[in-house]
Amino acid sequence: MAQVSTNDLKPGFKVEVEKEPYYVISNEFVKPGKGQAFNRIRLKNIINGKVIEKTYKSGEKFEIADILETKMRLLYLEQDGAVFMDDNTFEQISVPFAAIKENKKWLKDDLIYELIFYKGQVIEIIPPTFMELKIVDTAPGVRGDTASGRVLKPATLETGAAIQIPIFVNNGETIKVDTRTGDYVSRV
Amino acid sequence: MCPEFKDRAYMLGKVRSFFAKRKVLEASCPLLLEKPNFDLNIEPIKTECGFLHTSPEYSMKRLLAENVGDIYFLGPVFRKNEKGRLHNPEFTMIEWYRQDISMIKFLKELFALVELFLGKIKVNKISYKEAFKRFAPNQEFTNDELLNLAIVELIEPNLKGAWLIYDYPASQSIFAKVEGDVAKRFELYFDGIELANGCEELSDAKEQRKRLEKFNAVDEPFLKALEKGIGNCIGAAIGFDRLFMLRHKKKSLQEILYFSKANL
Repeated sequence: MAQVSTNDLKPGFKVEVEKEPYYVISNEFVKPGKGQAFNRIRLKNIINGKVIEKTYKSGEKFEIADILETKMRLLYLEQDGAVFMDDNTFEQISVPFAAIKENKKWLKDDLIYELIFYKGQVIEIIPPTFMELKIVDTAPGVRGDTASGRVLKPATLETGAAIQIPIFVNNGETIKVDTRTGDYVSRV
Repeated sequence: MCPEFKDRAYMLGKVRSFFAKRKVLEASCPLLLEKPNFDLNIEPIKTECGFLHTSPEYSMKRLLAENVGDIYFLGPVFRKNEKGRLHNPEFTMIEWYRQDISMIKFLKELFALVELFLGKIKVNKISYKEAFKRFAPNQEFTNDELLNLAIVELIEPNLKGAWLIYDYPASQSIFAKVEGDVAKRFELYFDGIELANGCEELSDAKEQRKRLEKFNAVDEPFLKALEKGIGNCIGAAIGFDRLFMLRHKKKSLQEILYFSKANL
């Protein structure tokens, strides 16, 4: 893979550090009086999300991480994973739930997801930021219950996600959800 | 565009009157040199017809050899590939040299210059060796590269307020007088930010030639000036832009330079 120098690393670049892929968060040029220059770089591990900070000699080279981001459509769920298809090439790929991790609760057939590949393997899938999902289980709301101070109640969505919704929203309704936070946004 | 415009113009004038009151004259040094002034870790910008100076040191020492007396420079210097929160390839430097002055008096003047920008400061003084004992104890750094990394990672973050570090390793100053294994070089920091670099200037032409020969950086007009004699000289260089940035409580040069080149 290609190499990039510490001087040219910009936020968003994906590089390998100790054989793991990282996003560059920030790159600070540092120079002690009359000494040689360093770059203080903050990095976010693409696989586990950990943030680290490392200082390198200016000019040191990094390997660009073999990261590919591509949009694919979820076809269906299987026993241990999900099958996605590329709308352009019709290529299909089966992604194990282990790679999907906590985003399994946002999987809905026929929607487009962002798949992150590292060295040819899927390490993460990112759902659409907002999804319209049906509520499959929630307690009935009691009108005028705001006096007790409670405005939210738990609910389960068709994809399995468990979130908090306003008490006036009922079972069977379709709502808009922010998948980044799990927050109820609005009725649809 | 920049609300500090008026204050910058005002401070440039204040620096000039500061030196005028003390009978230190302004030296108009050329920015464009035939041969670059030497600095181990600073790259000069090359043009079609010469090099932009990274510091007015050579020109100023040549003037000192002509007995012009105490002089200062207030103007741009250029350093290739230095971009960042505290770096811009072109920045404004205040550099001055005093002859036959005691170190105590010179440092008093340095602190007074800083106080023009920041108000009253209390300066903590510590030697290079002691700074390491205190902020990087029980660690051994076997070369200048590691020492510089330690300064940046371990020592600078601990320097809250004003600090003067003095007596640098002899290997870390090409133009300073050396006593034993220590160079009579000092640096002034404020809140971990390097502001000034100065030293008792090496006036021994033979010794200076030896040091420059090591790096293939002999400059005859400069050495001729030392041979003529610059006397007992103490000099320092301080970044006007960084002082100005601190004065306005900003965290980066880009916030106070209208035309900065940083790629942030």
